[in-house]
Amino acid sequence: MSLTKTSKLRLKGRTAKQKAGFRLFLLTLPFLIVIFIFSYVPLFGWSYAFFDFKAGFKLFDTNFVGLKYFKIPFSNAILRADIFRVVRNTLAMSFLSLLTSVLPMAFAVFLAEIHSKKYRKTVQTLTTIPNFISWVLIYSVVWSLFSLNDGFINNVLVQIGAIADDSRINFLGNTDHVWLTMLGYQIWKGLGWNAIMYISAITSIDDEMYEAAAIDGAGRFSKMYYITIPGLLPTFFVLLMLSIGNLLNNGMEQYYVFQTAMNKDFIEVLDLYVYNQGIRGNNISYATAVGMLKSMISLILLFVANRLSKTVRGESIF
Amino acid sequence: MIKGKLTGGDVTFNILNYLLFGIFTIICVFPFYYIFINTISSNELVTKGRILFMPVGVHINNYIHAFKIKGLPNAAFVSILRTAIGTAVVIIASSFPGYALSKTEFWHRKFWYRFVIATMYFSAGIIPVYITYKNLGLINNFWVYILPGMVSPFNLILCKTYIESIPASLEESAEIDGAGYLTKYFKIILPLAKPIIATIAIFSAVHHWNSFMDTVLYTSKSRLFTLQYILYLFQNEVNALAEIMRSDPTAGQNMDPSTMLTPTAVRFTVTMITVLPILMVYPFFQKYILKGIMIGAVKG
Amino acid sequence: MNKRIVRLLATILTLVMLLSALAGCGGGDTTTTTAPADSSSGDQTGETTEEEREIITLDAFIMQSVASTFGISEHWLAEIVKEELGIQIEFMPTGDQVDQKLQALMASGELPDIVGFKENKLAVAAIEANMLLSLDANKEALPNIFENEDLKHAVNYYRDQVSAGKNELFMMPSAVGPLGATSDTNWKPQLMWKVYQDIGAPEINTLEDYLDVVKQMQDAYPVNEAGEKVYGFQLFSDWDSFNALEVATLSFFYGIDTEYVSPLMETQVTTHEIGSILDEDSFYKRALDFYFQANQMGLLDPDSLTQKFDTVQEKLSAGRVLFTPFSWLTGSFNDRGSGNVTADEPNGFEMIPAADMKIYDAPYQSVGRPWTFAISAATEHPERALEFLNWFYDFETSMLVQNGPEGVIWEMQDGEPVVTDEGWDIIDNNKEMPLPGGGLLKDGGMDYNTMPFVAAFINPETNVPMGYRYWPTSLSRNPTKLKEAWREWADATTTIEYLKKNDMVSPASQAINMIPAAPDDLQMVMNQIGDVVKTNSWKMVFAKDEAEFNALWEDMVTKANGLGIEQVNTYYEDQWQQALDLVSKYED
Repeated sequence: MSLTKTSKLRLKGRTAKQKAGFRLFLLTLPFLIVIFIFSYVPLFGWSYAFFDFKAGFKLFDTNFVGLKYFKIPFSNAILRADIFRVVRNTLAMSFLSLLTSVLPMAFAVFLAEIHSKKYRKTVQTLTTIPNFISWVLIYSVVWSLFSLNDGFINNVLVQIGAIADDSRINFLGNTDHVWLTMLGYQIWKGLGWNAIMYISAITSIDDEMYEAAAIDGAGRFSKMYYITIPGLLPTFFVLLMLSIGNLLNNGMEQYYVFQTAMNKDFIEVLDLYVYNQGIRGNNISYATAVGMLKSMISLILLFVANRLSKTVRGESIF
Repeated sequence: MIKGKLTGGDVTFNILNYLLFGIFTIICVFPFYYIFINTISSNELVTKGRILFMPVGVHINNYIHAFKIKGLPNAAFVSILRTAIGTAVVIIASSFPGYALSKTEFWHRKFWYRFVIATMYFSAGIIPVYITYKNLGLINNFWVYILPGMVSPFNLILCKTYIESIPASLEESAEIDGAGYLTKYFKIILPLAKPIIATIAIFSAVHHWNSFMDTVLYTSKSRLFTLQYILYLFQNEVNALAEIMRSDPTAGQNMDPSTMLTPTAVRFTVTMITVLPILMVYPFFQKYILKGIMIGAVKG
Repeated sequence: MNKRIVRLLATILTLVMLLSALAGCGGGDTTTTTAPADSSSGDQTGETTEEEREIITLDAFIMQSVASTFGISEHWLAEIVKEELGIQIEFMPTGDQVDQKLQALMASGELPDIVGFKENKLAVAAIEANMLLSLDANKEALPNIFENEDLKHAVNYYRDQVSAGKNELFMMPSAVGPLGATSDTNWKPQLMWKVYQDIGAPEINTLEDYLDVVKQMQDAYPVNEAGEKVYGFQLFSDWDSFNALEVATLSFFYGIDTEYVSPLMETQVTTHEIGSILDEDSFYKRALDFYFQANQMGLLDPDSLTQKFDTVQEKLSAGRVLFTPFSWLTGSFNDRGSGNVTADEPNGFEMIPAADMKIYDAPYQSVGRPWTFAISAATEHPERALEFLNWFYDFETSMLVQNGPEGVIWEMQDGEPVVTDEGWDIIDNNKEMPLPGGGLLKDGGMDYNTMPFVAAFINPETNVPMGYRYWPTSLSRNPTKLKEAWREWADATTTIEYLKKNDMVSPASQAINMIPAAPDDLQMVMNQIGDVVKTNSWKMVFAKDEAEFNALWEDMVTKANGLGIEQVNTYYEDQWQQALDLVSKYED
């Protein structure tokens, strides 16, 4: 197939550059094949969403149910209200993380201002630690700090007389500012880790530019503004684009460990809802349908964002 | 380091900068410290929830217990092997396509780039993936750890973005010599892209080191079990024992709660065993990603 | 140019090699399963067994197992199995992903030689897909199953009711025999003994009386010896499935099941009445009100909403709780090592029931529990697998697995088995078994996590219970000061004896275990309702006042109705009636 195409191309008399481009494609082909095999081939499983799939049976021996599983989440007024609430929470959390996605970049920029190399290395290493601790364990640490009766913070507040013993603060059972609190934990956990990409991207900036700027008498902040940040923007925009595609996927582990009956109205994001409703359990068809819906929405979002970027910034990312 | 005169503003800035990073670092380290002291403190006090800042009744039984887990040495070997091979493969398989796709002349570049990126946003589900792997002979096969994730779209994008920011003049100078894409890739791009290569190496090494779901789903032979997986089983057992007590009184009667490790203690210990090697390897990568010169310090 | 083509070819070659290596590894794998057999054939020539038996390896996927063991077991029991049957068992690891793993295995068309199912729904799916070996077709190989009077009902029940309509036996359940009735119950209201005595052991007539009593206790004992605050009641939410588990669980004190038939239903196990937990006069509402009142009175730990099971265990261990509803939920407070139960003025959690309680007592399980064992239709060694299953269902095997062979931890004294002093030493101190293979006593059973016969089952051949814990000499061994004090108070040796004497037991019918799993569509509705019930229940417990409590209840009922709880009620009412009709067929 590709061979016949090659010869056709040759016949059409393409330029040397185009030929080279095709050669480059052939060099890359093995990797593309790997992607095809491991990511695209298994998509045949999406067909399960349209049947009452049972493991161990041939697909066509099971009942064809059409769009049944796509309709279930919207089949009832109470469920629709749920979906509305859950999507609201999901988007709120996602937009908050989009807004704070500049922080890792800022982290990298300001870290570069630290003179002592040892200090920089230590900070950089140690701030990645939270990334490796599972949310379940983070919860037990948070518990020991913030719980009502035994929490360190409450104990200190009582001891210094800031609050009375019978008016301890229920930080974890609190229903105010759930989104912001969750965002705070996320930032704390991911900041050091996400900054790695920017820290390494700084190395691609030409040192001569700084030197030239210094000679021109540019100050610290103008160097940041005119050199460092523009140097990091390509990475920033690519990552931003990717996270727009992930608007609906904010994971569930964090929200799962922090959820209580009281904060559920605000904390239940889509992935957690899917879990709470038992969809991830044994019903493969339903789980597949939900996964398909999410995938399609993600792809649409991604390409809409890309189109937007083209209109606004004049260049598309993909 | 070139040091000029520091203005008052600079001093304030520096103090603040050092201070803020210092505080944030402490906040990041505290949970880890908390977990650590809980693993070495008297289990009795730990089960009563009394260890917060200082270890009490120091002992290392939790670690001794964990190191006695059957099959640990082999699992550690598999994990190291997987991390080493996996990372090496990911580096090549992400950076070369990343480089290739950064070239405008790539045949239908836009299509293929999208073809790669789209895979980040969908997954087929456990069963079709299992069937695919089975047809490829990957079930109970070491390569199931390496091949499926070898071309990581995320890493590929990072590489492509980085390579695009490398001044074109450097590559063009080699083009004049008539070097092919592979030569350019190995001779010019790879050395220049060291920082991003180090970054994706960290990402991929951590990913490989921490993965266990693929072991859960695609293997059943103990010779292929990874460290993470064994530790996962170990945690699971402790959790499951508690669950069983709930659902079955007779099972509860056969267990002695005093000898039961608490799930929290086990999770703590396992976290320590997992994270420490990562922190120890970290500095080797770090020298590539931290820029040598201090931007703010360059003063005329 | 030539150079480039060479490079291109090299790349393609690399890929081809990679792929073939991949295929090679896959192929190579199949030989490894037979490898242990080859290596052990050397041993086998050394043995002078009459039959020329090679030692084979059977793969087993025991879903209900929680052991972190995997691979070929090497402990004392595994050695005995190898010696007696020439079989080594290679266990596939289990964990919280067993369901997905089973489905993946089934979807790929083959199950391992021996499969242990943890629920009938999965087993029925495997039967429907023709993946299990018919045991009926191999009757002559399984005398221990088909000729055992005590397994008769189990065989019939699984043949009639759990065979996907094929009326053939494909699997055998485990845990046949009496579950609770011999000594203890799973649910019982326990108070902190010493504090209860200190306030003068007031009389408790009904559930709500605990509020007052616990209030007095909390006033008398506001902090523990470390100065930490004590609360009467502690709750945790991380085990909730369809209701607030710890709230619903109070129903068992009155013989009402809220777990086995359905967590959304209340089933009176003696009168057989069944109703929704959301009925206006339901016990669940009473239980919610109980904890609501407790919270109003300051008896409920305000951290209950956010703490997890582990934390509750911690608080129990530290003596910061006064009431606990599960016999096993005592943290380490009741352990000998804590010193509480052995002190001269002993302390610990002991049962103090209210006068009107009739505590749920688990049924005699003539059909066992749905942790079943089956053989894969795809096994390469059907005879050997059958032989293993037959061995497994021998009375002797259940004895062996729980107690080890005679002469190690136990011996016969005056015609009955008694655990020796060395035996107690091995058990109490978790010492290695002095047998080839070693390992702990419990390691043998951990691989399967259940045995065909429960520990309290009385072996008709010897007239002694299967497990050493139930042997008379073991039951009367070395009571703690607390037990002695309680026994004096109760004028009885065991929980069950006390309850029976005072007519405070609700013996459950086995019908509670004969409810088939809800069909998928209904299951979905139940999940949705369960989510609402959980959330609102917790809000009700922590409601500010009576009005909010009632409003939340109304909201919960309205939502549940809107989601279709009617279908759930109808389904379980029908199934419960059918189970009640059925049960007599499978009991003596």
